[in-house]
Amino acid sequence: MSNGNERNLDHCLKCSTCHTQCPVVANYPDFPGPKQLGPELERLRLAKGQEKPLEIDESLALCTNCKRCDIACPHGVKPSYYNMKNKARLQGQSISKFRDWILAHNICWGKIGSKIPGLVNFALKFPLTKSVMGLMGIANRDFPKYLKQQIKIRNSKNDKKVLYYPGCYASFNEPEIIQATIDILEAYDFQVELASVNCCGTPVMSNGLLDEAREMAIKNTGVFLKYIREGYKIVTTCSSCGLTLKEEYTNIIPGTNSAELKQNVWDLFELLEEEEILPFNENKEKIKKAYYHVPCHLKAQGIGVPAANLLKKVAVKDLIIEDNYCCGIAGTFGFKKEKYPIAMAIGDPLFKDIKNSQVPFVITDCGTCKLQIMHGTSVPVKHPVVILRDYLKNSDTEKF
Amino acid sequence: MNYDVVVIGAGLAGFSAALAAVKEGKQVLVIAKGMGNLYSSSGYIDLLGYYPTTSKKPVVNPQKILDSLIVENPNHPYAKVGKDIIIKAFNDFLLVSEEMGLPYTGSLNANMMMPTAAGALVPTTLYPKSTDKKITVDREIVVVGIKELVDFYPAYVAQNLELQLGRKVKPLWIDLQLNISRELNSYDLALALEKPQVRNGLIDQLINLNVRDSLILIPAVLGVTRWQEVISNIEQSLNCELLEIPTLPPSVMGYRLAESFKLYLKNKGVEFIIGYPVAYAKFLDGYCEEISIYTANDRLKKIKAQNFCLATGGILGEGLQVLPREIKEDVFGLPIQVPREYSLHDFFSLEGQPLSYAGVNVNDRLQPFDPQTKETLLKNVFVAGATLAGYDPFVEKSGNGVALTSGYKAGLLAAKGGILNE
Repeated sequence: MSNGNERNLDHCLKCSTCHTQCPVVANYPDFPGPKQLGPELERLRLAKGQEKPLEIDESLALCTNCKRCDIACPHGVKPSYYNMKNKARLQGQSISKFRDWILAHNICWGKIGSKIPGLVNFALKFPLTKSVMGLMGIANRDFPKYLKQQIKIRNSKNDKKVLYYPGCYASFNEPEIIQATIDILEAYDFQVELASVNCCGTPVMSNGLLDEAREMAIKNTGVFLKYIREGYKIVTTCSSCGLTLKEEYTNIIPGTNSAELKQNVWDLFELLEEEEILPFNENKEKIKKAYYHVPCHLKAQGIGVPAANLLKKVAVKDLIIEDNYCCGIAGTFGFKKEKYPIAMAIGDPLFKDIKNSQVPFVITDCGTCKLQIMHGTSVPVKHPVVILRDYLKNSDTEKF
Repeated sequence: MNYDVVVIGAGLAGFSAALAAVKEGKQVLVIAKGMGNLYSSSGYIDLLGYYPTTSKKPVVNPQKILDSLIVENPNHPYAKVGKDIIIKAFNDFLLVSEEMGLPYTGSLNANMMMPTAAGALVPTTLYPKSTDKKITVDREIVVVGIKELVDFYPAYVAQNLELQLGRKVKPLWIDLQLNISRELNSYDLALALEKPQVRNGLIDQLINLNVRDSLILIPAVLGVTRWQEVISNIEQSLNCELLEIPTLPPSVMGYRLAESFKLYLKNKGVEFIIGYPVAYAKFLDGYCEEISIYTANDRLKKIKAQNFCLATGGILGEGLQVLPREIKEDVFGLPIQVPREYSLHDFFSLEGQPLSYAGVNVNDRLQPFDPQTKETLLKNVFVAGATLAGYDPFVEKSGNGVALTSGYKAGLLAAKGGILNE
């Protein structure tokens, strides 16, 4: 793994500010927290050396990799880096290993599900399916529906070229996000191409399957670099995919390739913020009130809240921007039976805040945040592109 | 990204600057390398505890002493901020603290003596209303330690207090019986005590220890966000007074202030980008045009602003970097006034350490200036807090006071383009 973060270890003064920002600590007192699991145990591990290595603390499995500890540190230490690295060494029970493998490979099920959505969605609702999943250690909660949709790209040539990487959630569960993103990018005069989908590796990595994540990262990076060298920018609309390409790849496959890739990855709204034009209809009536939840992995990108700023400018009159709470889902974490109660407890303050703010809907960039918020509040949740596409000049309103 | 005011630093000085600027109706962004050291602080705001710094007697009336300090030490940050703004910043903070749901109290005319986790009595000026309890009351005083909590020893606290107060102070231990195998800190216990079941266990034990009607000194673990409920619940059950003592980090009292202040600013429309330091700054004719941060993918993100506040802290906050032969200010590369001698052999010398005086020299508008040429270096940069030269916050006990007041003035100046109509 990268040694930039390894060197940061000694900057930890044990102030525990990260500890106070950890959503798991706040809801599960037995969890030792980022400082202890991260820099503190890593020091011991280094001191003990390879011969009699320190055992990996089982509670590491509870780290959601939300990265709130990383941005909290006043001294630039990234506890989540050590946690990800050591999670891969965890010895779990085989049944939960199997379950984790199933959840980590969402892309396989997505590919099947989106080809025959009717059948798979029906099967997922079937009580027997739920009880089998329960036996495997999967929480009894709704899975997102699989959908397929024909995507239209204008194919006009332009100097500004984008390779759009929608990620698994948009590809298999909400293709509307893909179409809306393409429409917006084209309105901004970008030439758009759609990346052939492969999982970025986030769920694989957070389930501790580091070797496999490495393989995926190497393969994906190769594809992306081909485009980058032809002048394309890589654009994401999923905060977690974005952060993985921007940051995690340089940790798991350090070197010039991942370094070149990360420099060319943009969150859609981060890119649009740099543009001079604003191809939106200013005369269209704005939405009165909405709630924007900042996903942890967007917050960790250090780019501020460009989607929220654009929403405020063109689409929503009173936008409540909230970045205090983690929704608790953490990708596949909240789908695991034994972690489900923690995931819901973490999300509880967010759910309450949303309900108290009496908004007709919530906006957020992350697909799994969306699932969790809908599950916890029953309030509809939309991706910012779906709102903003409606406000494009000459937007084809029949689409709705 | 384009803002009216960009504040660099997320400690008390940065928050205070953001507050002053947003109240002037400005679009404000706070950027910081990480969450500030405010999380590790006591939550007390000391205006001035000891003056002259070598004095063994605490200042009784800080506002009165301020006049002589300003005359005798023209390089002290308080002299640059000026008495009027100091008073205004303190009064405004008291009002805002009510709005942020963490009401503070105190008077600039009278310091309050507060016990520390070592049992020392230290002078402070503003403190949370929940700690407005005088150590000099007639009630019996007990110090309660919690078995699960590291780094708080009631006998040690009690003995030191006895020496200073000249009266009996009783140390006691309680055990919350949480049955959690790992080592717990103040924040963990504060979370636990928000649960009625755990709290009732604590109340039962205190009743058994016969401490009804006493003044109970207890480490600050009485709730993270629901402290009001926790404290009043215990006080009513025991007919006692509870005085929380700030603990070693993570300090719950510092946490409450940092989180409440930040949330208040967010609700007022202040934006935050935390976790990434400033990478470089671009200058033109004595002005800072823009700054950049390296985001998660090490790409530079440009941030433009009319005016900037620099509140990155001192040596402890890493606003100043001490290298073998120089001290550096990282963001703008401002010259640092370095003491002739870095440190004294006696670490706890009453004179303090010369290194504490290192920092950025500023004029009365808090703009950085070159002490040799007397030239203003950056006209739209206003410096606040521990980055400033000319004082020793540790011995004179003025750290948060300087942060609050200089932050306030820097924020005002940044909002008004460097000119105040006083």
